Amino acid sequence: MRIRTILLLALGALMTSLLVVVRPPSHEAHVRILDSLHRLQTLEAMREQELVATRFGLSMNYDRLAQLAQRIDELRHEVPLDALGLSDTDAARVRALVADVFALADTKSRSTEDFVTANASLVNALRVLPRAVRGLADSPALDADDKQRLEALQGVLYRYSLTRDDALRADGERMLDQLALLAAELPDKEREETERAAFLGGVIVRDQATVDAALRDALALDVDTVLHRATELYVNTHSAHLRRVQRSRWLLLAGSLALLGVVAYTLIAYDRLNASIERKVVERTREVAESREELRSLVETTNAIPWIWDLAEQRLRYIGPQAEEALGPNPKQRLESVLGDLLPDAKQNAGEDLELCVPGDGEHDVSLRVIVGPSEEGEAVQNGFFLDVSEQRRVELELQQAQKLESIGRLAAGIAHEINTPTQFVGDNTSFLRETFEELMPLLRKADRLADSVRAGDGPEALAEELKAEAEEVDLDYLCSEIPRSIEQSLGGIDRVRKIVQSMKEFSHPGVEAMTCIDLNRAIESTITVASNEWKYVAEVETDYDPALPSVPCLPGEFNQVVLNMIVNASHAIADVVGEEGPRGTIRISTRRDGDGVEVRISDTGTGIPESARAKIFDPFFTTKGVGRGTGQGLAIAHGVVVQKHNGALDFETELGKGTTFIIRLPLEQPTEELAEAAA
Amino acid sequence: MPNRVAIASATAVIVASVAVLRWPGDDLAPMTPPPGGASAQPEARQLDSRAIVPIPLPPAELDARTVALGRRLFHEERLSADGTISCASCHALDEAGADGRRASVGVGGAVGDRNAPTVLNSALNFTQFWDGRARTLEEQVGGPLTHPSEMGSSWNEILAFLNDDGSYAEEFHALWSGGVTEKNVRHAIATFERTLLTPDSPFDHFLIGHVDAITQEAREGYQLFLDVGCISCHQGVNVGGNLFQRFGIASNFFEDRGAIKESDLGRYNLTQRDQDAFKFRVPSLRNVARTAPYFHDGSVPTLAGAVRIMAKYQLGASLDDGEVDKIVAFLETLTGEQQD
Repeated sequence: MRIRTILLLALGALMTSLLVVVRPPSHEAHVRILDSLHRLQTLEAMREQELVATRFGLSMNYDRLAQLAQRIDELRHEVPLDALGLSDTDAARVRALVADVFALADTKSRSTEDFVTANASLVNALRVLPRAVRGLADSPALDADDKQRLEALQGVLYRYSLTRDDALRADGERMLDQLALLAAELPDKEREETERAAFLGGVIVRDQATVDAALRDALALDVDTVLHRATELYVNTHSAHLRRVQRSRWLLLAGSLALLGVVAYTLIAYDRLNASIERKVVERTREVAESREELRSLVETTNAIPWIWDLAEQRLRYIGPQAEEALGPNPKQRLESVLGDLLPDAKQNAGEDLELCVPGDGEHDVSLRVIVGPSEEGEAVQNGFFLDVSEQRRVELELQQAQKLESIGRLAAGIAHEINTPTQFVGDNTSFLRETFEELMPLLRKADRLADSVRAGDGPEALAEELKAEAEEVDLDYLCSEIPRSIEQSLGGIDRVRKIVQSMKEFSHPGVEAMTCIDLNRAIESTITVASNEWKYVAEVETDYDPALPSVPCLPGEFNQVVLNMIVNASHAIADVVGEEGPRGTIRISTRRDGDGVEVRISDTGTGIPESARAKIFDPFFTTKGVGRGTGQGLAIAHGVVVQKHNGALDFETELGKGTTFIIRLPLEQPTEELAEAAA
Repeated sequence: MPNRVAIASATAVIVASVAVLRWPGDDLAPMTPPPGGASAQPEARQLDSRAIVPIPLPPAELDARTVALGRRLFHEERLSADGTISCASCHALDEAGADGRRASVGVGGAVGDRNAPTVLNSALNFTQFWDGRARTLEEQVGGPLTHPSEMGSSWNEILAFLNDDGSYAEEFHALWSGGVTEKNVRHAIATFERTLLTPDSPFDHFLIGHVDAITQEAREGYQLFLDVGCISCHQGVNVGGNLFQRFGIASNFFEDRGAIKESDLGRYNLTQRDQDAFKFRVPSLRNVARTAPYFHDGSVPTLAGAVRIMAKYQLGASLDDGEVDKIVAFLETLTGEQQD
């Protein structure tokens, strides 16, 4: 582009300079110049003709000469010297030559004036002299010689006037001198007349020379030749100039064509570029539309429901179509009523999670997580996303339930084992009792018959002997000591089973979904019991309950679940340390009052949590345990329960190789709203 | 991208080039003037070659509006420095185009050193002023306007005045696209002066054959005019005005008059040639009876006196009273009709 621009400008400059150079001579000026030069020539010819005519007395007045001089003078201003149309140097040359011509014409005019001046008096003298001579001819004061001499003088002067013979002139002057001498002797009248004749003669002698000289001067000035030279020079330079102009014209034509070419090319290129830009624009527009469409479909098919809130009008300007899916028809109205109240808060607490509960179209409410986008001060709109977390909440609930089930499942084996042992020996004891009872039955019957024979009195000694023998046979003493013990044992077993079942009942708290004030120590104790199968092979459990611990409002089932998870984790951690047959570790559980709340510490002597895992232990699905030992839900749920449901805190202290302590803090007072909500 | 300006200028250049290429005069042959072009000019008109010829009527082609403007300017006193003097002050049309004074009075009462020649028939003079220093009437206009002891103005003041005066400016602009310019002022006044011809004099009627148009005495006077030699210089349509002649050929007029001034040197003042000393433009004798006093210095109050001086100093002739009266009688027949 730049090259073309430069080319274009260069061509333009070249052509402009050519345009300046190519100042074609004006045709009219050319004609006028030639015409005026020609006229000057004509006028000069006429003037020469008139001069000669005047000289020889063919012209009776000087009007013509005066007028010719005037016309020639005027002509000077009529030559269009300013419009020569030649190059500056040529024009200067032509101007100089024309100026020469007119200077010559001026000189000629001046000579003509001199000629006229002298000629007027000469002609006058030549005409008046005979009259003066004739006047003296009759005068008696002059003698015949004088008269003859006068006539001779007249003849000499006339001949001189015709021939310009210097000898005649000398004669004439001599004779005029004699006449002057003569005049002095004459009487007044004759003297006057003679003097007049002498004066006229003198005029002839003097002015004839002047006239001749002036006429010679006038005619000698060859205006014609100079004029011819000027004309020739002008015509030649004009022709040369025309040729140059013609050449320049061809150049100009070539330049014009080139320029036209460049312009045409530029226009075509411009057009082409335009078209390609248009194509690109169309393409880009389509791409933008497509990407917009893609983006829109992307945005509108995600679970996140985009929205734009008009701050001024307090209404939703836009809401993703997913809203309808999530909330049923006409979600806008329902959202606007809640969002308006929420937004000022939401903006203040930007970055924090906010949840909305919006009545859905079915029987279930819809939980929406509100994500408020960043906004600048003074913006008219606020945008953000809703996340339909109903499903998540439901899954969480299910997951929690499943985890509970998982824990229960996990505990089931242990519990079964726990129950199995007493059941087994209760069974054994019962079998033992049945056998002993069967052994005792004949003994008892004989005793009964003995009693009968004693009462009847017929030989009870034999029977007594028989009875005694049999009693010795069954080892009655032994039985009497074993049976009560067996029964005692069985009752103990039954009691253990009852206790386990009781613990399980307490652990799961079926049916208690509201915050309830419970004795945490007891709850922990039953959980330890329930979990005993998890720890009893690897650790001892030491408890340090604060006996003055007040009852704490909580969701018992969920709290127990948390404690259980802690104990299970502690057991696993210890197991990792002690292996199959190391010395058993210790799980220490303590409770104490801590200001407005209570603190439960669960310590283990396990591996501790590695640095890399510390930040992630409360993340859902994060686990360091092997397959089958954990789902990565335990601590996440624990966190959720303690922090979200109880407004408590869950922390841990850990040291690699030494063990970990989890610290659960629960407030003693739950805000009623929270209580109510938790209840709901 | 070369912008539209570049394209527009390129197009302009092309158009201009095409215009140049279309310029007339493609033929390289040197132009020759059209045949008969020169001979058709007025200067080729055959002038009457008789000694004296009648005055023609003013040229019909003069533009009436320009003439009217010229007449107005001619009488405009505000053209002078103090607003008291117009051209007509010294060339009063009702005083035969002169002022009857020996020397004219200019601005502030300044008195000039020459007699004002008549403006009548001045168009027929071959030069203007006594010494012929102006070749044309246009050239002459500037002289009195700017002469300190005449109108004493300057072209700047004159043009400023005419531009400020609404009616003048309007008239100038109506006549010429250039409006008020020095050239146009000169042209207007000169054009008006070209109308100031005085044809129809008794002698002109005599010339065309009406012998009785002039008296016997005048006819005799004319004969004397020819015989004494006055006709040598006073000839042509204006009976003079077409050549320079020395004042004092037969005897020295200035020596006899005394007190030679610079203005007495006449044409010498212009050309500085010795032979031009005391040379003056031979004045026209048209209306001479009405333009006393006479000569460049206005030194002679009567026509008879002037005739005598002319005869003595120019022709070396002494005329008796009768001859002088006859010549005066003839000269009186040269008075023509003013056209305005």
